[in-house]
Amino acid sequence: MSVAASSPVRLGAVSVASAVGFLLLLEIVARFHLMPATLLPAPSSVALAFESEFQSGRWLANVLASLSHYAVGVAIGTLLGIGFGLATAQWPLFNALTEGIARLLRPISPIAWLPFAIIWFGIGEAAAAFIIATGVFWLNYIATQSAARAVDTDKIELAHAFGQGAFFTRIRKIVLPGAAPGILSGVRAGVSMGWIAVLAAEMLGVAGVGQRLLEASGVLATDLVVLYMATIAALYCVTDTALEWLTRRLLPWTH
Amino acid sequence: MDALVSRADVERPDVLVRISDVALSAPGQVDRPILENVSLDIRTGEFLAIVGPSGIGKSTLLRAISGLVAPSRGTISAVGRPRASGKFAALVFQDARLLPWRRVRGNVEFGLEGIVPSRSVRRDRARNALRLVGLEALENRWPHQLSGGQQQRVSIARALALEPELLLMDEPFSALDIATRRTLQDEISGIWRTAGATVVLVTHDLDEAIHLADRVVVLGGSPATIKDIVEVPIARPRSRPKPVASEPYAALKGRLAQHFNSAAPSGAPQGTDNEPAPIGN
Ligand SMILES: Nc1ncnc2c1ncn2[C@@H]1O[C@H](COP(=O)(O)OP(=O)(O)OP(=O)(O)O)[C@@H](O)[C@H]1O
Ligand SMILES: [Mg+2]
Repeated sequence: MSVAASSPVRLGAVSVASAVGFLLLLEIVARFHLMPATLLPAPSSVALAFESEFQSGRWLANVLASLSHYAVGVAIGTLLGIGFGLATAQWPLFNALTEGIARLLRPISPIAWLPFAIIWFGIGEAAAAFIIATGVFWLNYIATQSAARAVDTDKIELAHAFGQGAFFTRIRKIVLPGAAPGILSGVRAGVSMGWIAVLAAEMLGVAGVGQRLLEASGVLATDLVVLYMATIAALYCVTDTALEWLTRRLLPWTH
Repeated sequence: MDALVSRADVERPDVLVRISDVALSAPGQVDRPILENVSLDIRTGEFLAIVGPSGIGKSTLLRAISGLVAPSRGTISAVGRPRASGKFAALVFQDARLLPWRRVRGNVEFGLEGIVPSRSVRRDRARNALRLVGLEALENRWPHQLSGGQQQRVSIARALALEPELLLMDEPFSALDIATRRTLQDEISGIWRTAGATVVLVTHDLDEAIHLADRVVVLGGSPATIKDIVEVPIARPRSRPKPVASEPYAALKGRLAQHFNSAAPSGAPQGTDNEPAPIGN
């Protein structure tokens, strides 16, 4: 591919054009009844659904409800994941103590925790935040652990040679900045995992975009389903872009 | 360095560091030492060069002197004490080893953070050190925006900023072009003379060793030990490149080079300035 053809502006234009083309195609399929509307709603009917949901105030209420447990769950999962990841990378004994347990728990989907979430926290915001945090935790744990382990031992030696070798000084001045790119890519993966887990969390019956989506899919209201799918996609886009911006601010030396 | 106390100010012992009967091995390989039977007094205020073939253990010895690794046998004891304003020993690693997440000045301030509480004092000392290596204009760059030689100079500045009693340098000039290398050699020589620091310089360049040092320690053998300690009686300030022709210089270089001819396990040393080295002549 030539340099000009792969310039960011051109590539951006291509991806916008393909998205618009895709929507147009869907609209044509629906307008000309090439497929029943319940199978694939027309983009225009999704727009109408948005108008009515928005005017009834439901859309915003659902978005805000989801955001509240999303934010709490992602924050807790991220902080604990980074903390445990760092601790296992730094203390071999702590790693030995937790490694077996981590291997058992890691592959379990957030959905599997639903009954425990209800038993432990009752049906509510706390249970939803817990489900989201379990999904987010593991991504941060793994990313932080491997990034912290990969920090150059030469740099640790440098810290010792220059009187900065004390445990917490070393963590703060060498390990954290050295592992920061890896940690932040874990955070970013967690932020998108959080939106996937929102749907699982709201299976509890906690209000939010996921619950509304599940409700709509129960009655095959595909226009509403697509509307809330698009809503989650848009929210993901916003959080992911914010994190990309933050990463750039936090890691100015990487570009 | 102007900020340093002059050598007359402080009562100092004749011997700064005493290395007695030291053996050094790589981690976990105590039975197969890299260096053995190394005894050496580093005299206060001297400029000591350590030469020897690649892989012989020069960096290992320097690490041990700086206290980063403990000898598997024998002792290395600092007889001298740190200056009030600085650290006892500062090390210039063989690789520049800058922290990529700190700008140039932040890297130079790194070692000061433990000993100088005032941010502005740290900044001034870092700037002074950067000025000495000719990089004050680049203080806000990231390390990846520097050439290899510039990075190495930042690493020298990082050590100088500590105003150490003992400056340990591991082949600090090997990545530099001739002109910069000479400038920095003169700079280090000047700092050593005016500040009265003690310098231990590891080099594979015999001309550099003779030009700069009071004494040259030759490492050789396997496990390595001190093969020879050569005093360099050439008066200072030493000129260059004239001394190449001079009688004492040629004799010294011949004596040093013979150790490389007999042992030479992994490549003979290079002459200065990338000429084919006339070793043994
Ligand atoms: N961490 C280590 N584990 C095992 N062996 C090591 C380790 N570090 C160094 N060595 C070995 O110790 C020996 C001495 O290494 P050192 O780096 O001190 O050599 P050097 O004289 O500085 O060489 P050069 O001139 O190439 O820098 C080498 O043979 C090397 O292979
Ligand atoms: Mg070396």
